[in-house]
Amino acid sequence: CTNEFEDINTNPNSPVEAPITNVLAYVIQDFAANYFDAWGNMNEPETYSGHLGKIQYVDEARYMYRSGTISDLWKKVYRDLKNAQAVIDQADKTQAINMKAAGMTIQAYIGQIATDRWRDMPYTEAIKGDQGFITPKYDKQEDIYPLLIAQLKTAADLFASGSTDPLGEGDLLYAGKVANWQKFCNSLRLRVAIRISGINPTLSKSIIEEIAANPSKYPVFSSNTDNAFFNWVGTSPYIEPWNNDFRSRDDHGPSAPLINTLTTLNDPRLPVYAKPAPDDNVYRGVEIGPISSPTISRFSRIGARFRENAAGFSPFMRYSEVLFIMSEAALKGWNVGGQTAEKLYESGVTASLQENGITDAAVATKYLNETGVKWDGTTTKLYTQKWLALFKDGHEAWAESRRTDVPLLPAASGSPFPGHTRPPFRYPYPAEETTLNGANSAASVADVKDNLWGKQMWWDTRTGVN
Amino acid sequence: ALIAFFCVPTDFVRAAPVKQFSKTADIEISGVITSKDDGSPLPGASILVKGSSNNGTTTDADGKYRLNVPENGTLVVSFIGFTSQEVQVNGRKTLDIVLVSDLKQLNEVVVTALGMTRQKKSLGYSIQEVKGNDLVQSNEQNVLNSLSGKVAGVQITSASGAVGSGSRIVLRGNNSFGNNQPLFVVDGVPVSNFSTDVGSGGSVDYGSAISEIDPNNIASMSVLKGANAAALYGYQAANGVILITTKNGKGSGNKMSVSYSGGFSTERPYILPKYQNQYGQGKYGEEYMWKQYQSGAITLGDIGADESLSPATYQDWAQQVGFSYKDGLGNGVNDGVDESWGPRLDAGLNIPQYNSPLDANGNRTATPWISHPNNVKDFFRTGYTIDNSLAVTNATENGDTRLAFSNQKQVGTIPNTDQKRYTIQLNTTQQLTKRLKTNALINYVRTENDNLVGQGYNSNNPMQSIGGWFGRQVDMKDLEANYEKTFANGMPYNWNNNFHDNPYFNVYNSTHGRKKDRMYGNVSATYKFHDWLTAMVRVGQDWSSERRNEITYNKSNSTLTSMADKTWGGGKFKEWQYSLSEFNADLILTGGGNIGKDFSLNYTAGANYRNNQQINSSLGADQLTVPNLFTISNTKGSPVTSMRTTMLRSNSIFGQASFGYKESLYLDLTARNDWNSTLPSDNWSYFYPSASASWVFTNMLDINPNIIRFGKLRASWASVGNGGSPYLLQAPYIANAAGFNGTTLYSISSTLPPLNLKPEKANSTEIGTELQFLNGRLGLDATYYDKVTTNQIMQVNISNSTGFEKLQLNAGEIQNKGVELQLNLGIIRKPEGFNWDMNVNWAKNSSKVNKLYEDPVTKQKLEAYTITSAWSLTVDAIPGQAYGVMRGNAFLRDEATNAIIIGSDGLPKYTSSPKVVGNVMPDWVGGITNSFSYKNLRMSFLLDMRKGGDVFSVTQWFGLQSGVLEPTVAGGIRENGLIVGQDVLKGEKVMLENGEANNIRVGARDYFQSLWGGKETAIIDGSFIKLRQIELGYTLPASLTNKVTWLKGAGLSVFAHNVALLYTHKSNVAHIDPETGFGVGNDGLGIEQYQIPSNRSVGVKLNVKF
Repeated sequence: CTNEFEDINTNPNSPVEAPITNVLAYVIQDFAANYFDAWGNMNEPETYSGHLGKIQYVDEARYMYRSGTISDLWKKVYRDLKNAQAVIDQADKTQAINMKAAGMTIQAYIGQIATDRWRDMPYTEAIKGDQGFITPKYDKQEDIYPLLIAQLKTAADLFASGSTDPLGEGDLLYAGKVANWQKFCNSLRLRVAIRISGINPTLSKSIIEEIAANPSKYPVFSSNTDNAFFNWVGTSPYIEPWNNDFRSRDDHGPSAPLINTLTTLNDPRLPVYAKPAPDDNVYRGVEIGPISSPTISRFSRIGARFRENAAGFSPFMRYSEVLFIMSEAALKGWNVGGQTAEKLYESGVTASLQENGITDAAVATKYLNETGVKWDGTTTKLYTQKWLALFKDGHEAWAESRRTDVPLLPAASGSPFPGHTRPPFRYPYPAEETTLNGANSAASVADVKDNLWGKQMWWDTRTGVN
Repeated sequence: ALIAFFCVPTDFVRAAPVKQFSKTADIEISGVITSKDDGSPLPGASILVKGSSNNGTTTDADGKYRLNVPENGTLVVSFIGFTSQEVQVNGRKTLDIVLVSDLKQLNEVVVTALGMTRQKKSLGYSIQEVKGNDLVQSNEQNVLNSLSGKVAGVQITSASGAVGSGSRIVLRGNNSFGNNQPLFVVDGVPVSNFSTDVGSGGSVDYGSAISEIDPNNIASMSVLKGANAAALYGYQAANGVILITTKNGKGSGNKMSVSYSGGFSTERPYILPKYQNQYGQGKYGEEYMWKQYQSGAITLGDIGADESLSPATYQDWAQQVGFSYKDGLGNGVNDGVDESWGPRLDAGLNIPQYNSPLDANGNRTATPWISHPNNVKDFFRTGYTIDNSLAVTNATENGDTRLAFSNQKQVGTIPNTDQKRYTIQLNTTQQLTKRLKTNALINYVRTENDNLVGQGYNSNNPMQSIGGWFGRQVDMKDLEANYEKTFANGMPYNWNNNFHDNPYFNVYNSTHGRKKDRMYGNVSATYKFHDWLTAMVRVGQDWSSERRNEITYNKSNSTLTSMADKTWGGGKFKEWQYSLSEFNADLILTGGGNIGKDFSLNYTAGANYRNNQQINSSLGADQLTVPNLFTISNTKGSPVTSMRTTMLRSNSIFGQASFGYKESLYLDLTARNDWNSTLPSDNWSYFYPSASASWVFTNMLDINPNIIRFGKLRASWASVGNGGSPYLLQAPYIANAAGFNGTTLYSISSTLPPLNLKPEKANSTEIGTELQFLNGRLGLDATYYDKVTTNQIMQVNISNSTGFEKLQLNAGEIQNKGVELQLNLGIIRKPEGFNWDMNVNWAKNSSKVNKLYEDPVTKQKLEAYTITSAWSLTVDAIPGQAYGVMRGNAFLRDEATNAIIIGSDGLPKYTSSPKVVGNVMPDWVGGITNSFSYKNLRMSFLLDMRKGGDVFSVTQWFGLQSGVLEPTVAGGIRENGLIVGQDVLKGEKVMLENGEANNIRVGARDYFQSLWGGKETAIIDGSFIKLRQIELGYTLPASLTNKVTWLKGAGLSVFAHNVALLYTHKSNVAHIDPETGFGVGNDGLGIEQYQIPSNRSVGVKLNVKF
């Protein structure tokens, strides 16, 4: 009488195997949905990086984070890393070289954003619950970065091997164009390399020079059409997340530092990035993190390109960022294929203007000659322009502002944690880690001070900040 | 009401008159035997002439008897459950006799597993029965709530005062990390107690299936608390069993009788949070901040206000800094906030408000800023419950039938919430031949709700705004009068357009309707081959089909598509279909009898086949083309859909043998083997036995019956297995609800499958005693139990860094130990006069987590299991600790002195990792019932109490932060500021970081908003004493009803249910109902989020029998 039991207990609702292209689709969409929305991007990375302030419900901008958000982002990052691993593993089994490389690329991309938030975290033993690792050990960021570097190198070499296996319908980033993935992969290698340029210049240099020396094997973004932008459907439930938030909330505005910088520089992007205040039609940025919300009609809003298009984009990585990285490398005297730092800087600025619809060369030229913009061989202008270009990419902007200290931002005046001189260094660990993985997390948890500060990122070589 | 029209004779009692064995017939005597309790006639009572062995009779269906007796003889009148009486005939021709119910019936018969009636004294385990009459004393429609306080060791948590809500019932503590609900069995066959998860965050509570059983149809409920009592029901019974026996037609005599029962009651919320009425909406409008500004201690910039302002008076401060309405979206002064930290109320201030008139420029004019102290109370209205039940019964020598129809209508205290229920029940037994008997029980229940309110931290719970995030100045009646209107700018008429819907818009437009049809019952045929062999075949089915329709009207806050442009998505909906089927087929062989003079043997052997299938699907839309047309073809964009089917099957064989010796020693042995489809094939068969013994020592030892009338010791040991739920064995890929531009998004299941799933096992040991002293006026039933659940099939939360969220495994060992006491006192016993009885129930349970899980490969161990969580407050099971430890961030304290450390800003500092802040498990629960009677009048009241059991109250946590609760104004802190440790946290030691005393004065808002950092001030000790019920009843005396031929009985009672919260702990500063929860699962354990206030119910109940 048990002969039907196996049939009865076979799940009729869900498959045991799914096509990997659909899993790749999940990873891309899920990360975009959770790391580029109000909770994962606008409230904290974008306010910590100085791009945005909160005009209502100012809690996050003054470091009163929701612990549930932290837990959720932690959960999502590992879910996405795990599913990316499923893509890699299955692709490996079926010799799908491009698919494997794409899985490795997206996994490393996510992994870097994660460690740039939490510093030390489970990595080598992580996402191995199915191998019995139910309380994975913590790895230091200095040990995670080499793994990211190695993984991206492997992916880059796989792409370079010229396989023809398709990425399928699940490539929601580039619609199956493997060449673009290859560029994304190598561009990411530049991002990782420049991040560690202060703490490990030798390694940084070798990566950048390897890529620059062999553009046919290791191509990088060469125009804005290569941008790794995740484009949204525009109908529920796949509405661009900033726009989705704006449907029912009006909580964010461009910050005073952002508006002031754009105004000072006579930046043509100002009307793209921001709208004037409803009260008096003046561009006025909001203070980041006062104790209480202001009367919001006195302040600017985010520009329509970034928040008012349901079918808008989530920027995973931009062409202009690549140019700024190369410019910085050139400024350090590294060999980036013969291009000068100045040229690369100007190309970066121009690329950003073009991305924002400012295609008139005369406008660009005029802007490049503004006092605050004109190349003078200092990193301050380079970093400022990179910071401006990274608008809407809170992860990279926050990381870079911690690495470069440009723009120089004070801690929020409404902070409940007095005594800090800079915006947060990091995210706290989710409360669940202290419960479910308490022994392993204890040392890292102890490195955290006032939830959002404490031990600096491995690559954060700033001194005298806290 | 207490009036029992339907006595439930057991199988031991013949209802129809039996042959009379008259000897000499001196005179003929007749009369009626009635119950003292409620005046109802007692059919089947035995009347025997004293000294004769065979001169006697039994009463007919109306309790009447007729008998020839010697003129000076003595009648011995007895009936099960009542104290026997001897009455002198003294030549009388008519003699009505009133029997007093036995406090603790010596020969009490109870319904046990598989529907078998057993003498209670023969059982080696604890069982407690509640009569149907005790369940219908009030108009309570959820039968579980009626059990509250009546059974030792049963903890019932009524989710809320919302119509249709479920109740969580736990017998003897939480045995399990997962489901702790007992099995419900109606007339021998398990029925569904299906409920959908309400979740710790809350949503709509559609109740649980068990609450659909009409209390009017229940003859009795037996609570089998331990595994011991439940071994024969197998794996479903690991958390105990509640056996429900429905009324039948027995005892109604050879003629038809009709009975009617009707109740009407009204309901009002009786526990509301205590709100402050001194300060209204806004921020930093408090007088203290104004004084600080005047004295130069603060600047406008310090509190985030526009520094170009220069307020000169408190009126200026109030309007320019505190609050001034422009559009409710943040464009005025703090008009987007939903907090009450604004200007002082009733102080002569004038402030532009949402309902102030517009001036010529379209701006709101300043109007008086005044309090509306009853605004939350005003939201609720008087609800009512109407209960009608009509039953027709008939019995012949060949069988009996009962057909009942009932309907209930409930109108909730939340506007526009209701429930209608129609029940038809047919219960018929026919003795087809001398040996063959058939029984059919058929129930049809229809439940309809036009709307059930949303619950929890949820925008469709109106309490989220009005009870927690609210402007205390708001006039609720104004919101009610205008909820269908919109403002000139296109936004709906509401006090705040930033976060909330008008609560009336919410309950009238965003509805959650439901229609459910359910059929359940069973059909059986019993053939008696011989005393030593009776065979029964029974088929039971519980089938239901349910449609839920959740609608959100256009212009609800959640349908906004652009707040800036004031565009809306046309509305949303989701329609759910549930189809459930629970099928059981049993073959049961029984037999028994006496062996020689001293020994008896009864045995049972049987087999069960169970098939459970659940299908659900949903269709919905997030936007609609034509507003408020809720059809799938009207969807704008893609519809949101889902479907899911689950099925499980089990086969079982079981056996039981009961040995008796001299009516004083009993031994029961049971054994069962289950085969479950949910387990891997190597493990799907599992076996478990039980043994129990009972020794009625008063029947064996020579003990003076005046001291100990009855005494019994009992002991048992039992094991119960469990096979878990379907589809645990593999980790499938899960698709997102909607494809992305047509591409399905597949991800690995976030639940890690088990390595080699084994059946879980619960072993329990129980010892107990039942004693009766003082001629039965003092009765004691005491039980000690120790139950260990191992190899539990459960899902645990694991570190998300594993790539998974949950791990499905066999793990853990939970140990529950406890004591249950029942005390029955007959304080005053005068059969014809005043009687006072007291019944006390008390139980203490301690649950401890002994072990969790160690991975067999990596040897990594799980450190904790999170049972549920909300706002990062977790309820955990941690090895070595009690089940249900609450952990959350807490005040940072000095290790040496335990003083709370105050930072340089004068505010408490908090830990950045969780600390233990409470435990959800109560220390003990108890109930005391006092019953009084005098002739045909009865009065009783029930006190229900709990010691301990912490609750994380989000109402309290956020209500302090949002400034709506009373403590946020206490002691002049908004006028003078406060010093932590002096004005607030008075009972605590505090100190500055340098060890010095704290003398830093801060604003009230700054302090209360800092409570966000920790959970301690939101942990409420859940102790309570409640006056649960008062009931006053009157029964027409039999002497009166005897004169009216068509009337067989009538009674009337008035009652009040949930009368008063007599005691709540001082930590409950919000004054919530400490008895709270969500749904029936573990999800809401110990967490309260904007509870719908509990109701007091006052009403009348009428019973008439024709």
